[in-house]
Amino acid sequence: MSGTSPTCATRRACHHHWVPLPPEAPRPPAVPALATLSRRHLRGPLAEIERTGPGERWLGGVAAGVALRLGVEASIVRIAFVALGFASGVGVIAYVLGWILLPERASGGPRPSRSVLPKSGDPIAALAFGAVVLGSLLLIQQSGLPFPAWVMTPVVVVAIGASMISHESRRSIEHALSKQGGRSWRGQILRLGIGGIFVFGGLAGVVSRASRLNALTGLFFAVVALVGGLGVILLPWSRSILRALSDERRARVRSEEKADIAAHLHDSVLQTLAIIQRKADDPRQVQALARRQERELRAWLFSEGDQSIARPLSIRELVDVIAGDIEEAYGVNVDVVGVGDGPLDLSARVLLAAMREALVNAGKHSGADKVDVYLELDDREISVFVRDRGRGFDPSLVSPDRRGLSDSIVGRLQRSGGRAVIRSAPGEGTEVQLSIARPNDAARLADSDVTPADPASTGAPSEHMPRGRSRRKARL
Amino acid sequence: MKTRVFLVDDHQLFRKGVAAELAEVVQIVGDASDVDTAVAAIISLRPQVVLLDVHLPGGGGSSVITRVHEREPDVKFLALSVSDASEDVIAVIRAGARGYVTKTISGEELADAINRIAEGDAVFSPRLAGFVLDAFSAAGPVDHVADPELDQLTQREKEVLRLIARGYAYKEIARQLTLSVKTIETHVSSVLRKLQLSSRYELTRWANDRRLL
Repeated sequence: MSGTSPTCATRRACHHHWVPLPPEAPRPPAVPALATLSRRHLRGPLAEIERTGPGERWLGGVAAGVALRLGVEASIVRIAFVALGFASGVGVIAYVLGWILLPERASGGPRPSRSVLPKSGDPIAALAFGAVVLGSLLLIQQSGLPFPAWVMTPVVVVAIGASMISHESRRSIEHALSKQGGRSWRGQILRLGIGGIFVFGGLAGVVSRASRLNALTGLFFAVVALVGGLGVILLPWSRSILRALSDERRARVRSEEKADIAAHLHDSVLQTLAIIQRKADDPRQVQALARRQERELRAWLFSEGDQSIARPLSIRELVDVIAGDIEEAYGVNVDVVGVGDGPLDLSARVLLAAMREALVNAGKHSGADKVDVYLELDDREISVFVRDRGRGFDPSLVSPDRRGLSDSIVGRLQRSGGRAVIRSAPGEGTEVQLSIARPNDAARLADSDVTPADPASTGAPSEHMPRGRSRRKARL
Repeated sequence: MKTRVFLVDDHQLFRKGVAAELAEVVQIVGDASDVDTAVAAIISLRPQVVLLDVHLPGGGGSSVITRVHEREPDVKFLALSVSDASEDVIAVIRAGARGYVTKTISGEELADAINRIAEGDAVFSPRLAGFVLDAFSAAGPVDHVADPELDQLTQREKEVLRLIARGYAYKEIARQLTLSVKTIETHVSSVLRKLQLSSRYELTRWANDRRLL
């Protein structure tokens, strides 16, 4: 698969082959019938407000929807609704009306804003936001709740300062991650400083007023103010840093995975498809290529763990590799069925080398388009059956100079203590049966056997085989 | 009378191909490409044999079998797949399919398999035979044995399965073991029953663990 396709000389220049799937089309929103009707009667900016869906709302999604339109943090709008609710119930009525009239937003829309201030560059939204805040404050004061002016004013000052800091820190982090440079540190520090002054000034106002009450209450307020002030300044900063970093890491992992898949598909499937296009007039070869690719792709999809870690092949895996080679070389289908698996030891290698010869014979001479391979391992033995339904031959008529059968299959196995049986008849196909003892069994037999091992033995496990194991000579 | 066959496969091209190839020998009564339409159509058409793709959108082939058998226990299923993933195949068989063949099967063999399923026999492809031998030969403790007979294969059954796995046809197996084809079919049906009913612990664990190619 090292050849390159005619359309792409290098992988770099070939990314157009990898077309990411288009994002799923957003589902139509589940809009209640009443809302569908009434929506047509809404005009202007109000028509753009949609209630948020499940997961993004506390009650009906009205407050969050308004916040989304204004581009501010939903909790601010929620507070405003509650405040208006306390003030003669206007908030409750407005909320219920919104719930009925506003349509529900389709899922997957823009995420709710995390900003405390309205979107920059939207003066109408900013004005509306300001009006809501001011109105709420006025209503709170009118409502006779225990919020005197000396509390309200510092709270407003602190809120403005905190929102400046929060806004500034988020922008600076976005900026740092986008690595685009060119932003002035001076302006940033200035804005942060002003925010800090607002926060501490507001808190100092509360503390100085409270400290006039008595010493203990004053100390309590001072501590709360200090901790609260530091929290207001630091919390949004650290939270936004963490969120931005984890978002970025997720995105990077995703894009790396995608690149891996793209690279793999390019090296395997796309190359094969290119070759298949060029060999379209040779169905046998196309079939062999397609089957080999299917095998590889399946191995890649279903294998666990990291493919890049080199690992010795098992017996089954080597059988599959050999089968793939034969398919490619001779254009036959090789169907492998296996029972059991094990490590690729010396005797297994001998057996599989003989199996390869049997497959080569079937591919070259049988004329069949399909060869069945059956592999079975048990505790004592490995057996392989190679069967084709091709033209077959009369084993007794094979001339002695046909080295393939006698040397590479029968002889090779006998030397290692295995055996080979070949069944064939003209017109009935051929079956080659190969088997060899597994080494642990050979060792066990050698231990219990009174007959000493052949002194000429070089120590290969399979050579400790008692002679009786190979008593069934090949029938040729 | 020709066997009434229903096709379930999510690839239209494949359904067309199979229908064209089988048109001479069986009667194709309908086809479907997903679980819900397949279940509804099979229940109303009552085919003798359903040719079922293991991988289906909307729950997989095994859910078609389970849902149809709740209403129509007599409909027989033959699983058909390019998937050689043993856990999928075993799941479909345990759900009640009477056999499993791979999509590389020839039209003639497929027609033969369908007719055998219609007559109540089981159909094992070489690969399924391999899976079964593998599953039943796995050593280890047996979990909650209700019926020990279900948890192992007899020597004869193993012999038959091994010959199927080696690519022999039933007729050839019968000749080699000097048995009748009917006896071979009885052995295969018995293996199928064990495969579907065995509580053998390995069978599930094996199917989960292994992702054989």
